[in-house]
Amino acid sequence: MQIEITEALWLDTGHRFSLEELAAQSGLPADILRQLMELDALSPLDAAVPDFDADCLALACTASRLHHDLDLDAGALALVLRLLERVRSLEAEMQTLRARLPHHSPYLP
Amino acid sequence: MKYKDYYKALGVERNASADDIKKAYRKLAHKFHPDVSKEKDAKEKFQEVGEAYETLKNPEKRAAYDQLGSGFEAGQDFRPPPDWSEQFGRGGKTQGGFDEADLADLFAGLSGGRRGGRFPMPGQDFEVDTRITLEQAASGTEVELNLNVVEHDEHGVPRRVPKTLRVRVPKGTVEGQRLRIPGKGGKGLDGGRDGVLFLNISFAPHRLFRASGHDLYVDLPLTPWEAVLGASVEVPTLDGTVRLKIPAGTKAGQQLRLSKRGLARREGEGDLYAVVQITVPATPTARERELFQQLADESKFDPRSHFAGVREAA
Repeated sequence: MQIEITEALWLDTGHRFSLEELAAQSGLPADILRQLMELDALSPLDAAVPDFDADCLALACTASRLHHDLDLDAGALALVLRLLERVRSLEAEMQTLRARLPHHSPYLP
Repeated sequence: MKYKDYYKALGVERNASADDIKKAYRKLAHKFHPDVSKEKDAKEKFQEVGEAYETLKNPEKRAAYDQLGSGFEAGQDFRPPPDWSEQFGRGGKTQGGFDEADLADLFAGLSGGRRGGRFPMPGQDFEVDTRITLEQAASGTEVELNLNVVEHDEHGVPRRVPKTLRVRVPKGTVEGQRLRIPGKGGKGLDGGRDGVLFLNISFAPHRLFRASGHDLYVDLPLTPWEAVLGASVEVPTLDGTVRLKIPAGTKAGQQLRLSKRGLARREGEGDLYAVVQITVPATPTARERELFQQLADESKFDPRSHFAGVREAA
């Protein structure tokens, strides 16, 4: 049995990714990434370069899975990503509100 | 090697058309895709469906799969027919390496066109869920991940190899955080990059504390007299107990902030909020009853004065 020790990195820090790096890392073709930028579903740090932070990598990986697994085009991907973001923010809000409820509250699952 | 019934996984007949297979996959993929589904075991079910489709959508792989035979039950131990690997295997003959192989890995090596000339294939990205305690999140921790990674032997036959990875999780993680471990996913082939391992962090429920980002919440039960008169009470934190001054006239539901007693951030700390609950003795003593009765007789306090107008209107 091999045991390796390794260091986990924060996803939301570190170096910036170019469009080509983002495409290589996420597996999503560069032209779809460009279309997602045009549809405001992917926001580069600097649109002129463009370069991206690691949050964009997580988003591009999700988009890549949806593109390959469900055969979604850029328009559908932009819509799904926006709705997923909305679900995530609602879930985060729900978690915050639940944290404020007493342990024996009937509103807790 | 364990047999997997790919047709059954997609819910189609063995003679289903390519179009029917595609339709069945789409329907199931929409239902179980882990990025959008809240179904129980969505990840496992999607993996099963995806693996079946990956093989059956490709005519070459489907033919190879059909050649394995159809008399097996899912999960049954079996070996491919003797001439199977010569006909379909990546590198030709195998030396009995099938036992540790996974059916999916075998077909992954049969990618159409791949035989015509090798090109770099990036390693698979892995995603692993891990659960840690609030105490571990506060101080940083090491988690042990047991993975089954695909490796190819000298004949190109893939097999699953158990691998244990000990990962240092830095302090300051929060519920739902995703950490990235480059190069620890699947091995790239023919010069392709190694995959990335993503680690999804979740927190085990804590007996006392509830987390919201880097802030923590704890219930603080007070007696009615502590709430009215004010008090100094002990409150648990992740680093031990601290004394908290309760101001006179504290109400139920009020949140008292204990600065920097929450979870560690990369810089600084979150806060701990004590959420006040007013509790009463379930079975008061005779003397307690007497004192409360005396208070009830004497007090002019009306917490429902704002109901007055409503009562009259009705």
